[in-house]
Amino acid sequence: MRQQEEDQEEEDGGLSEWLKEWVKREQVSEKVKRIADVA
Amino acid sequence: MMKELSELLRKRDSVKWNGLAHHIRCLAHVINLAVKAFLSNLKVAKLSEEHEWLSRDDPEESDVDEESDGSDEEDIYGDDPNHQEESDEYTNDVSSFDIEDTHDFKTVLLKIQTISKAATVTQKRILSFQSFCQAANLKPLRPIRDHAIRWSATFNMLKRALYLRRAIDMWTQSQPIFEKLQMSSHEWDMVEFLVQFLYPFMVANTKVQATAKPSLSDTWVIYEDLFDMLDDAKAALNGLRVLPEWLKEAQTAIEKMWTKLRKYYDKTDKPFAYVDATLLHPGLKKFMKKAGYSVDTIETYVKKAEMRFQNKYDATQRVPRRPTL
Repeated sequence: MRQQEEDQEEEDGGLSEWLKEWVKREQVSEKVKRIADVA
Repeated sequence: MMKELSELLRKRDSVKWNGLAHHIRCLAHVINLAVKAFLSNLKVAKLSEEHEWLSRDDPEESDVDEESDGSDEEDIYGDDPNHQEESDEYTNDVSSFDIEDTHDFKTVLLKIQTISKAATVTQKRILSFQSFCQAANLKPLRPIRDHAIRWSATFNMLKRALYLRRAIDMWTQSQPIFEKLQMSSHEWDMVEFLVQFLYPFMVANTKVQATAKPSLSDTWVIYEDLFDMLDDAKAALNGLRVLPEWLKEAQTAIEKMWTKLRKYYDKTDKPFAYVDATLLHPGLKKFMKKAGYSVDTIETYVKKAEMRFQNKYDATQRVPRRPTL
């Protein structure tokens, strides 16, 4: 199991944590509104 | 095999088991179909030939293993000896960089796909790209190439591109031949939307593919979470007075995805395994309560599940059949 996690992390380039934090910054609904406003 | 198993259970244990009625669909495949429905409606994902071929013969279109082992995700060319030859041709052929700007997801995906290939096609370009990563204070990672078999490859490509955004911007501005690959901030917004929107599906996908413990009891919880997320996205889009064309595209794609997911969710009401796994899981009564079931109703369902087990499957509880002469 540990090996699987390490393999996945390797494949991921170690970006899992970065992505987890990145998606927390905004909800999909907030993003839709913001992007639509800019457009 | 289903027929054989049914026959075996009937003969050996006197258990009546209808394989078709109790078919448990692979949730990873259902997620794959739903996401493919979304991506193909954005015209960014061509279904694999295998998928198209199977869909022709099977109206259910789905429960077929089209997962690969993932080992080819990083580089679809592997050790192909023709790769270098192809690389040389690709490096010298800049016509593929001439992407028509249609202001939609298709253009954005095509740009990211082309960048991901062009930046990793020769050792020289890989080293050059790495130097931009360092300049941007990022990990020296390569862009990931997409492939048509798994939607996760598209997600991983987008996720990596998003992380490498500053390096990609610098790299595409470094030479005139990459000019047509330059991404506007609006195009990066579209990438952000795709990554953010698909992230819960990737989390669910990873969860259901884990093998350390059975995850059947998580099925309804996962469906519930995904529907909640889709409903939020739909509500946000429906609440906008003016919808840009590309978001209209996303709106239609989300509807298609919702319909696909609903189709398979509806099929979970027949096999008892789903309800039993949910009811018998110590932590999931909480989920049932959240879904609006009263404590009495839950208890009634639990009793029914126990009786069903005793009557149908528990050999120690069944009255032995009278021997026939």
